[in-house]
Amino acid sequence: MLRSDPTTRVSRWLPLVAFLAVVGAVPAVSPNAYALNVLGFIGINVLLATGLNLLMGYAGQVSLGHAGFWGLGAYISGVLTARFGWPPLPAAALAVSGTCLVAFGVGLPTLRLKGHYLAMATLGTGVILQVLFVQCASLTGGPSGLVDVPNFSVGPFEVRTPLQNYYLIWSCVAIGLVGALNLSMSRIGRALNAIKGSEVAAECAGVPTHEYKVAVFVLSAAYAAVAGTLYVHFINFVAPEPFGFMGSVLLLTMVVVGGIGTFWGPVIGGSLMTVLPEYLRAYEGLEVLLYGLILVLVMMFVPQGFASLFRWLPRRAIRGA
Amino acid sequence: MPEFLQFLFSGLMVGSVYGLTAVGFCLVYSTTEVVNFAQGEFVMLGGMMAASWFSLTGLPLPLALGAAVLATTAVGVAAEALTFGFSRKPQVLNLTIITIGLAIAIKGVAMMVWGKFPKDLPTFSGEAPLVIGGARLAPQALWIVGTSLLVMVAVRLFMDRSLTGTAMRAAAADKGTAALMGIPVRGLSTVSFAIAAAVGAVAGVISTPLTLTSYDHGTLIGLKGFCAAIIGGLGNVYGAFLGGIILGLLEAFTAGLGGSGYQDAAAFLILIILLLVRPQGLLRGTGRERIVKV
Amino acid sequence: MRLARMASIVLGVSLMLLAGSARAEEVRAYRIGAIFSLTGSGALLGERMKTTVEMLVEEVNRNGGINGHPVKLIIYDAGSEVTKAVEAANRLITQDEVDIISGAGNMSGLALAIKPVAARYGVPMISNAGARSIVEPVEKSRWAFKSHLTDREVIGRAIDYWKSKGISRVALLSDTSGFGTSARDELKLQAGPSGIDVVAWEEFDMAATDLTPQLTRIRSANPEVILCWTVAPSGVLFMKNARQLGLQQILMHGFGYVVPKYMQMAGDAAEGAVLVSLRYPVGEQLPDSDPTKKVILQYNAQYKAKYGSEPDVYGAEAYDGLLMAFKAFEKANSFDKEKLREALEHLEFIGTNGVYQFSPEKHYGLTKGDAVVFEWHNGGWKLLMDATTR
Repeated sequence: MLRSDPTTRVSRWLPLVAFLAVVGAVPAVSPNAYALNVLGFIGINVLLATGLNLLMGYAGQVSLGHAGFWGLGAYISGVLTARFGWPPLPAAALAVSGTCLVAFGVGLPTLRLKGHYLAMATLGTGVILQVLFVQCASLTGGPSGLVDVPNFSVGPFEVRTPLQNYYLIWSCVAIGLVGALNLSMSRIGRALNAIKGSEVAAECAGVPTHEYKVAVFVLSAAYAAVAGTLYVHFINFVAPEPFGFMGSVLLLTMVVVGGIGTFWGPVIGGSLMTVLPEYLRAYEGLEVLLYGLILVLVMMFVPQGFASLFRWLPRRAIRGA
Repeated sequence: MPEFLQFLFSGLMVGSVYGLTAVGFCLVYSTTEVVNFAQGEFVMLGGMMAASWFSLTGLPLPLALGAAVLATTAVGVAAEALTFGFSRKPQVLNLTIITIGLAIAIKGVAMMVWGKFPKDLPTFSGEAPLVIGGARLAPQALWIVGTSLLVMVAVRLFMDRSLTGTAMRAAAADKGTAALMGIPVRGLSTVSFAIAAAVGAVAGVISTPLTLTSYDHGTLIGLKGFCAAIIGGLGNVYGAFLGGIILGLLEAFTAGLGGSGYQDAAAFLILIILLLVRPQGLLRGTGRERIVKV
Repeated sequence: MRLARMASIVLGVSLMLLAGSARAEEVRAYRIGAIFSLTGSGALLGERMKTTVEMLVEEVNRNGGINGHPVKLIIYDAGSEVTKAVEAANRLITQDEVDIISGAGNMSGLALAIKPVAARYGVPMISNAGARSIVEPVEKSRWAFKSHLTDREVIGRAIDYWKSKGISRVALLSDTSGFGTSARDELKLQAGPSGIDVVAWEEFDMAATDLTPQLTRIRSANPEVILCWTVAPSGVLFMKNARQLGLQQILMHGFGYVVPKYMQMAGDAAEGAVLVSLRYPVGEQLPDSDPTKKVILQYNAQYKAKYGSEPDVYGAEAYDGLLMAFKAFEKANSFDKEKLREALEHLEFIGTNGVYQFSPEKHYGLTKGDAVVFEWHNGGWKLLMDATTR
């Protein structure tokens, strides 16, 4: 696929544009506060899954502590605005840059190693972050969480209602998706693809593999941090639970169920895994069992993820592992 | 001095349980490259079944324990055969997520069958603690450590000396070539699950008298066992057990020296430091790095 | 084709929205939302709460409802997780449109998280959890009420008990949850001024499997009493490990541990364990002049008749909490949430756990004197220090 081929470029962008148009129009169809809340959470999960997908699909690495970065972004934003009275925008900037710094610190040494070591290091990082969220109670509110986090605002414009939150979240998701698509079609994206296929060969071809791997890891953390900021201003609250190992496993599952390395995978996976618990709630008691079974069955019978079911997708950026 | 010994005993006891769980992880990983997230649930099942049958049916304790181990093994075999066996694309990451789903499902069934209240088992040889050097040691702790060591050695001997064990190691080294040599790679995957489930169940039955068990007990045990396996070097049975002991000692001494809130963080901090300093783990694993696939 | 995929996505989203906006048409009922922990570490406390409130709602509807309106009860499980509690509160308010939330998370951490949600939407919330900060400072807690003592009173009562026994050296072993940390903060505040010396402050994670390291440290500090503060099964380990280590001190628990099954599980180690609690569990040992005794016995009889088993103190807390909601509806005779809130602020009634009196300055209806101290003796509760309010 040559980048200069105009029909292919348009064919890649059109579905995304159409999708975003639908997203923008949805509130007009159903301004129900509850539905908008759910769609807001879907947006946050899609953003998280997209970032993780960049790491897993485009660089072939696994992160078992991704929820920790999400939490770090949320807590930094939350603590700065709730405890220190910072305005949300600078707080968000610090949240993202701080999280990226931590990701850089973790990724730089571990990504030199081959194999599953990033996974282990991220596992450890995620747990340590969660313990810090609990223990630094004077800052974070400890296990009961941080309350009274203000709404997101820029100057006099405050994001208060579910509708406003919906647009804020999905605007960020839009930027994230556009970025991901752009990356996949760029030279860097092809380089990442090469790394995933064979690192040695990529090195031989002149690709600075280590630098690129670290860069995409930091980028995925940035996505997570933005999702964290949106999250904490959305529910005006944050507590340590969602950011532990199980939280990271859930994010991993979103990406895999949707389809690793595909563009629409994170969107599908994020949506499905947000909505599923809502539906399962009706089956009180069986809820846990059903959730596990569904996971097993999906992995058995739709191993490439749901995105692969849509055979008419434009050719994926990466071929499956 | 008595305090030091007390922390040591506590760490060794808890560490043995982690170590045995880690051995289970190691077994499955060695044979299939899959991290079996349901390993912790096997530990839980062993303890739960034994506790439940012992109190419900009045079976003599050894029979209840034995039945629990066998039943858990059966669950492990069934879980693997019904899922891995029918998967359309048995890739490592997919299989790993299947184990995550299995872990959740098993937990859900346990919650429905046995309820949410914790269960316990009587200790095997009474409660009167032994006093050693000013520190007290529950006799059950000796059972835990002793049984764990024996099981660990048994597993290692099996892997090294028996035909099946050798076949498993061959499948671990290179699946394709092993298959060409006539080794039933698929069947060995099931065998590895069977042994891992049995080992996990043993860990569960020996520890429940001291630690109690409940339907959600498996999650944390599994996570710690997994870390222990990594610390020791994924793929090395002795290393996995050693990793468990180290983790247990770390927890006990962290709490003992005043940082009880930071127990978990300390363990994982060590994990990260270790990864930076000696990433292949303390003892050499079976060397499963995916170095290059040209 | 791309169209097929687009259509699927649009269809999927639309279906979801339709589901969200569908609402059955029905006679306007008084809607009460409840958030309990039915799974996770708080599950044991939550079970009886759920069955109790269901029983009460069924009874009131059988008798024609309140002011002629039926009562509709919606219960969500927070799974002992704060985030799930917040999501449940959001759902109760925005989707189910409840008038009052009664049973706002049976654990303190959850209630604290639900509090700002209730405040944001202006919905009265009644919690039966312990932490003081749920209803204080009262200026920031307009919409929050408690059907329970705060840990300030419970700790205060424990201190009363210690002083009555001439005890001055105490060790605290609390869990790292919101419930445990709140008690820890409370003891820090009250111990010094009361002349109590806390010689050790240890913590443990709710899922801990061995408490001997912490208890070893406590042993070196040589206290007279060891107070454990948790709702999790690890409280059983506390008693067993303590006796295994040869500790002779009195073992005490907070009011989250009044569960006979836990005591039985600890076996001999639980003999003589002292607990501070509301007076429900020792209802039969109360003097007949105590007005709550009648309510307690009636609750027990009603529960046993319906479910065939005994309720517990947590069910009793939920009972009182739901009564509060009923009385608010009765008094205000309105769906207006501000009127309901005001009704709650002026409530007075006799529940299973005491004589409740609310005011605009005090959003929890009980006082320190409503707490009792009893011990586990020969397989049952034995009253040690009675309530001082009647």
